[in-house]
Amino acid sequence: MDNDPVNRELDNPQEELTRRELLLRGMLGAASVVAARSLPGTPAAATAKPAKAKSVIQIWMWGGPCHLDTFDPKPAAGYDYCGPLNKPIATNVSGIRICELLPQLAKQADKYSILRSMTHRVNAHETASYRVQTGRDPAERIVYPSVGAVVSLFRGRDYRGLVPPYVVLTEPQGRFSEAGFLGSKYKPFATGGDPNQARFAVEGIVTEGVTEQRKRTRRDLLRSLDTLGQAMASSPQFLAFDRCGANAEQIAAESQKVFDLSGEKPELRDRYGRNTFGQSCLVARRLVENGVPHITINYKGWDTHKQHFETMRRKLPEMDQGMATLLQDLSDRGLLDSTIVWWTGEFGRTPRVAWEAPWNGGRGHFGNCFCALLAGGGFKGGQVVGASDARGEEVAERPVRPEDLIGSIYESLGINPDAPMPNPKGLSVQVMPAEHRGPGTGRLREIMG
Amino acid sequence: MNARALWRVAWFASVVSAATAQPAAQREPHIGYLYPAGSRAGATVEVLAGGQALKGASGVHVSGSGVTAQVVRHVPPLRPLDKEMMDELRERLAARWGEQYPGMAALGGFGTGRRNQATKAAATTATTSRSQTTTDARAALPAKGKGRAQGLPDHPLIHRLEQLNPREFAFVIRDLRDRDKRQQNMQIAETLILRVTVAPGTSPGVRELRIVTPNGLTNPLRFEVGNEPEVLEREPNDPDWSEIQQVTLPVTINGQITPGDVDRFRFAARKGQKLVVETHARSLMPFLADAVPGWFQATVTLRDARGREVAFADDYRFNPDPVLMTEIPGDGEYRLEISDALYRGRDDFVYRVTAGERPFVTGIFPLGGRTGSDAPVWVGQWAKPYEPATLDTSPGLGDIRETEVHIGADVSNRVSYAVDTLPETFEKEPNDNRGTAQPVDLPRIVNGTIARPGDTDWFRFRGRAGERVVAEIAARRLGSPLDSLLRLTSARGDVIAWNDDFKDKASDLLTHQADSLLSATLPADGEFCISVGDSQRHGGAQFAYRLRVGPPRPDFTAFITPASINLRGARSVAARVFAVRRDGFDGDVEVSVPAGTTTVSLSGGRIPAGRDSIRLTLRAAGETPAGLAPLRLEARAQVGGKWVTRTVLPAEDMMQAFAYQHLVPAQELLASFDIPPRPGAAGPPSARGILRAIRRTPPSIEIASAGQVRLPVGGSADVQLLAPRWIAQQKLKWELSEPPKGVTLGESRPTPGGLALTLHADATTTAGLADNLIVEAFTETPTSGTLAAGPKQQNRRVSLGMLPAIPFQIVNR
Repeated sequence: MDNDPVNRELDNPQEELTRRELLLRGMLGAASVVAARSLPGTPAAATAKPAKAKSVIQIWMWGGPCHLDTFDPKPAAGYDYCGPLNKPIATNVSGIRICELLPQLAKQADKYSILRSMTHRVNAHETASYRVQTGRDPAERIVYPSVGAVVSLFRGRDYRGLVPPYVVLTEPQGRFSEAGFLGSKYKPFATGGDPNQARFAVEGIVTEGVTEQRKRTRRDLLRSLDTLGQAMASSPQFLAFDRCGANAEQIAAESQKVFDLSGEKPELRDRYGRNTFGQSCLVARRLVENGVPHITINYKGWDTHKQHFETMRRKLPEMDQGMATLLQDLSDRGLLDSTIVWWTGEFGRTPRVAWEAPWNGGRGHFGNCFCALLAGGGFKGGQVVGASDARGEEVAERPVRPEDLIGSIYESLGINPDAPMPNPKGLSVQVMPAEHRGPGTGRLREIMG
Repeated sequence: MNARALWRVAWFASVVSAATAQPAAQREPHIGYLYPAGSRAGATVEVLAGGQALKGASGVHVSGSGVTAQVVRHVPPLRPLDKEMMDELRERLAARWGEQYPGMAALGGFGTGRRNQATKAAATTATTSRSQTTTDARAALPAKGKGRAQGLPDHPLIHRLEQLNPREFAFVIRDLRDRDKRQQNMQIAETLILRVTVAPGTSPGVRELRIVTPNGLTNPLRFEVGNEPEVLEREPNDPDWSEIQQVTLPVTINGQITPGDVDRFRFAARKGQKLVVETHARSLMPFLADAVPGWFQATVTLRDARGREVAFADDYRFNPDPVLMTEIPGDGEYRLEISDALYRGRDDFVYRVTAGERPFVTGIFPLGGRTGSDAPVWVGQWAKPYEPATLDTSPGLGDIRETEVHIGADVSNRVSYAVDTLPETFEKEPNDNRGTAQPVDLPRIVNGTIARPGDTDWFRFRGRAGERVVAEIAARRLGSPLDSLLRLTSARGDVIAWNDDFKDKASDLLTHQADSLLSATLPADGEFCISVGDSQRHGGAQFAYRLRVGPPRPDFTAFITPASINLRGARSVAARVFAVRRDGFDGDVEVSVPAGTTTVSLSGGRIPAGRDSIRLTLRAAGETPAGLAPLRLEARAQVGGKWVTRTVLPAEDMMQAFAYQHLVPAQELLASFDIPPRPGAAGPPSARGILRAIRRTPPSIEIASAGQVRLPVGGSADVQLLAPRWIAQQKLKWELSEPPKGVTLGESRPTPGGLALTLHADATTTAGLADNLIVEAFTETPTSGTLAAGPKQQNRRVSLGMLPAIPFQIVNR
């Protein structure tokens, strides 16, 4: 029997331990995630194509962004489809036009490719999120892990950083279990807090209003009260617990530097945008620099049932600034070639605008056809994959399903689609479904270098 | 002014009106709730109507007789208010109303700031004389524009905060309570204060109320004439307040539920009283588009004086509106609580709760009778024995009717029953299996009951090979709790067809339409059996049904949405007409204006075979005077070789919970003709040229060729428009409204008689598709400023209205 509690947990992934529980155990959570890298039970690196990408930044457009009002404009469809956003602008790639409210991203179009034929035909948030984040059918018997958890599983093995390998900025989704059957240790580390505040209060790492000295004093007090631990100091369980605690403290101390934006030039911070999203993009870049394999920026506010265009005018410039600066910054630092930037939501929005009450110019959920964006990590820029019809209501050319996109990302990361994934039921489960493993699947060969 | 001049002015007015905002659909006036949603006969009440695009409302239309109403005041939204503004409002309200309204200081959303102390002081001062208090409070506040950090918004009620009448005060308080918890719902953000009078002697029942605005008539909302004394809830009535509102039974309580709200009322009752508490909430506003679940799901709880639960209800059978029926266990004081099942709340969560020892009909048997016959029924009431009654089956009053029970001055709830021309018979037990199946001759209505859990009723009939037989249950649609399951078998028991539920678009108000319908061709000559049961194996005396068995009776019911048609000058407006097809009827349905109607013309009225709905257009014909008028449309079809004509019934097409569309029948189809805009309304400067031209010459744009446009797959076809030359020369933008997939509109070009529009059908279209195309014309002026110019950019687009619907068919090249 393995007496190491961390090992035991890894061998029994069905023993659910929530992130909050981990953090409540005195930073054990972060430590356990780090420890997971070198533990038995994780799959060996199956034979895979050489990796082009090392990290992923997923910009999750929470709620479902409108494809017509971002990267698939349809000015000829008429006012009932475009509303006032009917003057798309040229980009720095001939022939590609995007929404008029994205002028900064228009200058970066050579760095990304637009997938205009995403489809899964699901219109419910939860199910659609699951489809896009896992590439799996919700009707299957087991709950699959999200891309971030899978990347954490495979790419986390070689990762030696102190910050957990799967980080969410700033709020976890909660719409489904991101880790699926992989268990709680593959759940993302959600930072909480707001990077746009003077001090980014990262949950468990940076505590608002508590100095380092005060933290040390608190820990000393806690240890002095741990009479059982002192009496059984040689117990393997307590030793392991203390080791994890010490790791956690070290992580907390050193991770603070990663999340501390005060060292960034104010001009650069301005370029990213002095808002939560813009500064999250900057934090994401810093995490990539530190080798974190998967970062998700959960960007809320795109479920625009009502007064959609007012929201677009407020949010698209913010998105434009943060995302365009991220692409440029990654490129300037030579990180874009090894970093996949993936932009999408769970679905698009109804192409026809609901002008009537109660929507007053709103758009509903729309899974028949939507768009995604891919940049870096070996994917070509300046390309458009697929096409929607004249009004963005159906896929007209080259349907791209979530599993096509996810399989392409895995391939770029060198994750073998045939690699087995541990699961509590002992089922034979591979990274990709059988029908999406071989050549001739829907992988994005058009943009894979 | 002669008629021609009036016509021109009307046209100008309509276009000016159109130019004041952006897309036409956003200007449509709309009401989302009435509060209170009813009154007793002989009373005059002030009613709040929440909605949008209500400014300038000039009148109220109420269906039926006995109820009249006037607009008292339009109240724009109070939002947005910052903390300073809210604190200031509270000070002024406390100074004037603190004495009468002790809950003032606890109003949510006001925060705790430095002004609270001042408020307390002001509230204390309010215990002196009213005039003194008002003067003091005013003196304590800086004059408008002098020293106020923000200044209160320009709002008619705020201007006269100290002179509010009690109803206005209640409105302001309601709007300020729990502001931080409340959703901002633009569709109900405006308020009209109406004065509604119900004449003495007016019959209880349901009316529909609509508002007349400069942009036309709103949708209808339900307004009930009650039979009991009525009260309005008075906040605060939360548990922390000892002064829970006292009411005396019988009573109808009117209230609104805000987020987290539980309304409480106390009353005295005696042991043995048989209390009925009937809630109307979902029935007042059947579907909310932007809420999940898509209606106010009310719950009612009865507690004794110690707070112990005596009874609880969150529905009544399959109806989401709860009915609580209980015998009072002892003399004393009781509390009635009303809340949403999920503790949601919005201004449109309006309820009417009637409580007292009142008759409540739980069912009748049989559920109907033959047309023109004496139709005796047994009426079941809660806690009372069955009593005999007779249904009105006289011809011409419809297939589904309602009745009620009168006991002295009390009137029961209304229950539905069916009237049919077929011969009727009663179920005879024992008929619980195929061997004891009751013989029936076809066609026939069988009135039966699934009398106990697990009961199945069997019937047998003789048929011939190839004969088409339809069996249909009418139960749930008549208020029976039965969730029917219908089977057609051979004499040996082989199942030929079966059905649990079927979709009945005409019964969309039912949250679970559970009646069964099957249709089958008999495979051989001989005897066949039909069985009726409950799919959940429930049963009881109330589980009544009517089984129709016989040959198909192809027919249809036609509905039009919306129920308020706003006709503006010569412009066409779109409406959707539905054909609910029955017993296999699949032919064309032609919708038209009855012969002799001169006020309205209709285009695109053919619902093609196989289609369930179509959008058509209506337009004022001739020089119709401004005002409201009932509108009647007919739907004709050839059924079984004979022409049948049905009146098109009015309805609202309502969305539930972001997803589902339902037809909700209305009492009247009304047309509004050219209601002048409010004085001073003006179009955007950029549209002046067009407006001036339209003022000089009201444009008349017609489709040159009548009949269907044939549009080849992957090809194009022109539509010739007859229009004044100046219209053809304008840079108008022509767009298709809700076009079918694959059909687009190309550029327009001038022609000698007017202009031509080119239609395109792409290769994905399918030959045989027939529909209407509705074209809308706009002017668009260049925008200035940056790309993100903001909302002003949206005002540069002016709708000039729709053209008459253009019928088309996709054909092979």
